[in-house]
Amino acid sequence: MAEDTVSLRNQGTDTGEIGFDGTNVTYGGVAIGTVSSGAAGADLSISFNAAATSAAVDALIQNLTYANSSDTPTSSRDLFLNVRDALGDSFVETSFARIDGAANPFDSVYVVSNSTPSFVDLDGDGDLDLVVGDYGGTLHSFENTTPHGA
Amino acid sequence: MTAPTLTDLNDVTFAENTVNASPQLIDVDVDFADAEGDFDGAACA
Repeated sequence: MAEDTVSLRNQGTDTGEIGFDGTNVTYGGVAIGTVSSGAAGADLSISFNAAATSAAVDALIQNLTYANSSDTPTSSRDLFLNVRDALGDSFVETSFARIDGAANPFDSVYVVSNSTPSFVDLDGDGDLDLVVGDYGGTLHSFENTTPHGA
Repeated sequence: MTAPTLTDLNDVTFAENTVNASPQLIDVDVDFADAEGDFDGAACA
């Protein structure tokens, strides 16, 4: 929400300290990444460089801050935090479960061959929707309605 | 490849006037670890 600001504390540049000038982040005085946004309800995003270590990211997360500009703030917030390392691993693990019958959103799609299902962001909301063809030559589209972060 | 881990993340409560006055640290005891320790091009969001 516009009243929320997630940011970083500027500890300093001594050993083990996180430094933050509003854009650049340092750990022990060495630049480890850059920060974008986080103010007025926008998501905070930090991009790391090769100097970032596990200890540096640990210190960075411990220096995350929250501020609220409203005199009548919404009473509670959920903070979603994820870190993706250079190999693409993150906290969010992907798992799959089979859905049959009416619970299957693709139950009405009958394909024989060359259906060529593809995931694309059809509505530009930042998640992937599905387009799949059927044996009659019709293209079906399915909007991904899962809330972000779920 | 090993996924990074985050432990000891706890709920926190702030008074309205406190978060109005200045930013507050969310959790200084949370622990992050990553076995590979390779963050070149990585991200936190």
